Amino acid sequence: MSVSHSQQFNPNPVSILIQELRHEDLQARLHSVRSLSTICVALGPDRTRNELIPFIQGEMLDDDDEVLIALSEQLGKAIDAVGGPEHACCIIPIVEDFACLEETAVRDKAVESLRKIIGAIPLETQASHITKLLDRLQNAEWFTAKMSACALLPAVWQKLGDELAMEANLVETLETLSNDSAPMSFLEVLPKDQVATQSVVEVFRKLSVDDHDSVRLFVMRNCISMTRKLPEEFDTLVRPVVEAATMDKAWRVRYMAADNFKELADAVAEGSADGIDQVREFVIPKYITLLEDQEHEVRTVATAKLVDIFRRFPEWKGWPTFRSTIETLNKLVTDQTSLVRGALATTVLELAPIFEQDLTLEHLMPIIIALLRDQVPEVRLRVLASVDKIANVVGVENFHEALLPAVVELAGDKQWRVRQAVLDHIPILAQHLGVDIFEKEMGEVYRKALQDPVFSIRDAASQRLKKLTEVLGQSWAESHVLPDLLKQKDSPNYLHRMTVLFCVKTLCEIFPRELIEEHLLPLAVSAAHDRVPNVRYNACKTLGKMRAALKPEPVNAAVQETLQRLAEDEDPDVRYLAADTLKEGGSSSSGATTNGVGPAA
Amino acid sequence: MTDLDRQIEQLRRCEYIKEAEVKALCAKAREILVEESNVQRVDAPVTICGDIHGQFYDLVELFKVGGNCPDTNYLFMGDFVDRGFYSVETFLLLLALKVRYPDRITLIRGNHESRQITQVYGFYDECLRKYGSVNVWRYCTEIFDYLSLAALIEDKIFCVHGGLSPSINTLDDIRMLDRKQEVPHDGAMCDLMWSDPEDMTGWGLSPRGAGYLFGGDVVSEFNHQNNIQCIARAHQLQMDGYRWMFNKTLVTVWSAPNYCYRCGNVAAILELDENLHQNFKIFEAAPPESRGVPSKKPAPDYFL
Repeated sequence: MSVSHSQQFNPNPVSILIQELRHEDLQARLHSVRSLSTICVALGPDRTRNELIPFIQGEMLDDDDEVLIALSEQLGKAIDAVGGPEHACCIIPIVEDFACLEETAVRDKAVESLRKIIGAIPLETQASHITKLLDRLQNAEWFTAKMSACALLPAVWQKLGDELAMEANLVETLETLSNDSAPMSFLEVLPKDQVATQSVVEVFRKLSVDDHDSVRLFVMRNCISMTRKLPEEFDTLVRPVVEAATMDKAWRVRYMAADNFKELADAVAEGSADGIDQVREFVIPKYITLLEDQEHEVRTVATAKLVDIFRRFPEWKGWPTFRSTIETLNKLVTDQTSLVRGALATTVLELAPIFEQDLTLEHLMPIIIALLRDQVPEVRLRVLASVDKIANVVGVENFHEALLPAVVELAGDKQWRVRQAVLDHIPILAQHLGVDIFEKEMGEVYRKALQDPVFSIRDAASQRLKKLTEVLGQSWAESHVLPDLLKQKDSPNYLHRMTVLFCVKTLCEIFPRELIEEHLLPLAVSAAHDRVPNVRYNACKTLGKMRAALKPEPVNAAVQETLQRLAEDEDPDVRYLAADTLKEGGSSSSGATTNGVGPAA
Repeated sequence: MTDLDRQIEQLRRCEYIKEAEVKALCAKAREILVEESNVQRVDAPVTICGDIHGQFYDLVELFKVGGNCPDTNYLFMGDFVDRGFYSVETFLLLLALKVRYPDRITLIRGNHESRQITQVYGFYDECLRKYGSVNVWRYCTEIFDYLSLAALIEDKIFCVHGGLSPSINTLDDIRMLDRKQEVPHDGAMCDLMWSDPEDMTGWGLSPRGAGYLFGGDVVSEFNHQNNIQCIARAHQLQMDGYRWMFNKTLVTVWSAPNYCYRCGNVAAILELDENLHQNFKIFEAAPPESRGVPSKKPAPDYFL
């Protein structure tokens, strides 16, 4: 939208917005908040600064948290709308208000936006806006404001640079805040100054043993920063803290530890020449204890993050801890929580390419097979989701021998979504296995799906037929699917007779003219004589499709005759669809008729 | 693609249609429903469904298991609305399908298709919330009055939402009723929508405060008198989705899985093929990832 366009807009947009923002329906208020950027563009930077921002500041503070979160987010993006970086400071007071509120989610969003604003503000002329903001927050009466001060401190430090930071006494701020035992993750920046460094190290030590677990949650982040800044002091300074964090009495602290372990390992490895030895001898063994943590949340995240660490340190495969890692993974197969087993499923499938053929066959295959038989469908589905990729790792023959039986077993699962997941893999499995093995192992599975009691499965099976025929060849479809379709067309259940037509429709897309006329046409024509109108209706759709497939050659007489007969059917739906298909002259119709009121009218 | 087809597509995505479109749809529906009998005749094959109660995503699950309309023929035995989050979308989708494919889908009335009940159990509030006025509720409740009271499949299977009534002996007794009214507090029409079968003899008072309890002997007498094989009805939650009673002369079908999003039950539909062979399909609630977020108020267009 152009600004000039909006200037022609007469009614005062601010007042319209204000009405919307006062709307009693929460969804309406949310919507107008989310379209704030459009409104700012329409107003132009001056009016945004002078009218809109002051209005929002007074008005919205008591609104729903959901609105405040959206508003905090929008305001962080409003720097250009208020006229660019040199005017960005005018947004600070509103967002600052939100950063002092009680609700954590609102505060987090506000802090995120404040970081953006701080990043934008030009340092040469307006550094004081930044330091004053930090001062106000840290000296505020409420704990909530101090928390936001903690969260902003690293960003402020980074923005100011060491010199200005020392000038602004940020080390003191840090100490004061740490005495408040505010939870913080602060050490992204460390001053070069010796004395200041010592103060920061003291703060690090103090927070690591804080009584509040909400403070200790950040221990691991701080360990990572410390390792990066002072790698030579890892053993004396950081190592004991990491050790304590993995055994912390609060599971949330252990959770955060597990969640951040890869980054720690990174920092340790890059920190010094013997960093990789530290990783092997200390970091990895500690991580393994988290895989066996008593709290399932910790086990879940540790399991999920395992791949990242393996990917970073593929040499782990040769380390002494490798065997015990595998033993631990095997224990997780029977974990009492399905969340852990679900995470394990995803992890082992992603580990396979890192492990490569031999190790996968030896160590991962038994786990994968066990998880394919897990009692919880979600776990089985997780494995199925990328089981075909295993074939790339271990080779078709091994896949066929070791894994295929378990996959085939799932084709008979009583959860239809699991059966559908197997079906979804059928074309790609066919590609891996080739026509002979596929037909031997999965041909029956596929044909059974065409008669599944659940419609979605029958439908999916008929749709996969195209891809399957492309992969396995027309002769496979002719010799292994058509005979079954011929049988199924006489099924006592009209829904299964209809599946035959769905398959015919799919095959029309891929069979050449002779095959369509020889095999598919008779099936469609016979369905056009079915006693159930629904089948005749679908026969009509199929014939329309067939005629389109046979183009541009002359219209097949049997298709035309059958459609004409259907145009005089006793059922009105069939009659109208047939007439319509005839009228369309063979354009590929999906069967939509043009009578709006319905045939009975 | 016609407006109606487009509306059906929209409703299938759980997006409700405009008020003016609802008004037009109801007008067309009335033309079709007014021609239907109190005991609407239905041909086999057909799939019988019980209560849905505004559980839209579970209705989508039902269609995934049973097949789409118009490919599969359906008979819904009432209680489309109330309790679930999406009564508006659920009822309008079924009604739009009825208008589009009148011979492929049959809707009969349940006790919740009533002005009084919907004001208490959610449909009224939902209409007000989604449309900002009660007009849509008014259009829909007017249509409720035109829904058939019962259905008869191939002269053999009698379908009704609740059950039998002491004031009704023959199907002709039902055909004589004037159905185009709000569900009354008592009498034959009320009983059809409110009664429950019970392991007992004769008639009993219903704890629901409307309708009656009726025993196996009543069913046997009614079936014999009217030369029907069995009664299919809904109205009562079944943890396994369906339940036979009285030596397979009456079956309850329940199609709202995890009823009220917390009962933990499975749902069922009953497929009858063209020879009236019965086949129950059991299904569970739609998985969380297939449920959308409630649709937001459409964007006000002040500047655009």
